[in-house]
Amino acid sequence: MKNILSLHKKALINIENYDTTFSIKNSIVQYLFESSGQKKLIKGVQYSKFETKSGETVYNLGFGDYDSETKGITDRKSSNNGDARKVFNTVLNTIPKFLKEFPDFPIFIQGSDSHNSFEEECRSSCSKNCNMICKNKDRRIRTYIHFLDKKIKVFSKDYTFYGFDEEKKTFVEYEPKNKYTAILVYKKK
Amino acid sequence: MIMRNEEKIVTKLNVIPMSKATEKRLSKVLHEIKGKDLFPEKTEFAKKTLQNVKLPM
Repeated sequence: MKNILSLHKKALINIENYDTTFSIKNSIVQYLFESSGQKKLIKGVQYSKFETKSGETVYNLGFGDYDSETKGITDRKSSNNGDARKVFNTVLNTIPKFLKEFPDFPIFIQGSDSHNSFEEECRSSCSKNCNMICKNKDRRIRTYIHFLDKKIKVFSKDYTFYGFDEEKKTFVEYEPKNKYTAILVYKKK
Repeated sequence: MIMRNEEKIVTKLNVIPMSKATEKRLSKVLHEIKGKDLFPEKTEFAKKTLQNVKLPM
């Protein structure tokens, strides 16, 4: 008979995130929170419902800063408020909250800088002088992937993730550290 | 003797509570944006990306 010695290692993942408000109207679900970094900034996460051509219902995730001039939320600027980790934890933590309310629909996450015309728009005003590859393109989805990869083991217990393979134009099973241009999340049944 | 490493992941969620002043500010903003599609371009972009794509589930 073999003797087995099990060494239990405990990995503690401390997820610090801001408290959020919740609202729903016209199939638009919104979460608001205040980022307390260098400045106090109001940020919003929105899940908006749409149907694909084949009739499947999907909720699209949008995230940005509140602009008091336009009285809207914009995802065009990066606020660099010094609390990116807390902010992205807060955004990611709206996913379980949302899927608890709407367990039958997937969430689609895609950065506004993954658009085909983004590179051209960026080069016209950017000071980075990128050569072949625009460093800002797909930056937002790379940030989501970076934060998601850190918590994928925890999240995978209750949710199924797919990454969008841009070359194959299809969703593939999500593997940490791979490159994707979008992510799809389902609640496990 | 066989040694087996078993890693147990413990997640601790620390929610930073909101002050009364924050609550007030957020409620004012909520009043302005509730039910308004804040990212119509993004939704259109998502529709375009998924137009010929079959969802995996």
